[in-house]
Amino acid sequence: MNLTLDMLPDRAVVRIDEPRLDAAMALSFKERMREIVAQAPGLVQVDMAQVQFMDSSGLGALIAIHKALPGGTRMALSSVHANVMRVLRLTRMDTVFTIVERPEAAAAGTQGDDEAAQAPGRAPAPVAARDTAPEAAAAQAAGGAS
Amino acid sequence: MTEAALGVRAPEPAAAEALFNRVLPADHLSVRGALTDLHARLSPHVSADVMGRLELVLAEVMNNIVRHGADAARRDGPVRPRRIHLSAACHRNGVACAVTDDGIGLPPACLVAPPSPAHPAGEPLPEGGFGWLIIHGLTRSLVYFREDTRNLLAFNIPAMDEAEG
Repeated sequence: MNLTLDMLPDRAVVRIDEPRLDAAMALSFKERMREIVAQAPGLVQVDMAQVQFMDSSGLGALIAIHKALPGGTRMALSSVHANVMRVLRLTRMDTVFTIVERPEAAAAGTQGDDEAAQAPGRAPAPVAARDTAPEAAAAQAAGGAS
Repeated sequence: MTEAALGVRAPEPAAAEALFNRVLPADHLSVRGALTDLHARLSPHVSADVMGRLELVLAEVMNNIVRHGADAARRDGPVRPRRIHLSAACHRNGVACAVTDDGIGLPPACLVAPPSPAHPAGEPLPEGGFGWLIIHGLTRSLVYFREDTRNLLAFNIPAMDEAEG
């Protein structure tokens, strides 16, 4: 399970560096993410751009993570692939999760994330730190996970 | 039926355009491997949309076999290694699939399409039970029977998806 974690002052940015969120890795994903959301400052932004496939086990892990969010912490999924969106839609979980088109939109949203997603021009796009994240962050994210 | 009507109905032969067959042990990593190979083999022959639905349904079907086999092993003690046989044939109207296994029989309730879930605010969200919802939502002509010690599940993934719209 490869995750890249970037802990910013106002949010945790988690990039899933896996093409598949499936039954073979749902458990390790869930355990690793539970640790991350417990320490996240207010917003957990999950970048799913690399996830091209998710089954109901992967969905179950996402739901468990959502339920494990501490009070006051939000989670947003960004760059959701059509195959992943299909699972969310079929199970009506698209009505439960906050889904934004681009990572910046999640951080820009104050009241409603949907509004931010539809108005990307308003997003300040403060994600430069993600590209320059030290490798230590990646190592930290991957640490302890198989 | 006139010749013209026949021509409209069958502009080209209905023979399978591509096949994928695999026998695999019932475990999650083998399922992933089979799906990855299936993707490589069949994606040149079907649209990305059909491929996505095909892969998802097969994942749900085979994950169920793996999971319920593990449940049975916990209840009844170790059982002999189980095998899944997977066949998929691309044809003009979609992909025809058959999945057989030598695990326990399918509960009849699985064969009834579940209602579309609602998730009212304030109620705890379910973390599972979505597999059959996905299978019923994306397949056509779903049939199941058990013969001796084997289960057989067959279905079609339609080329045009009217369920998702």
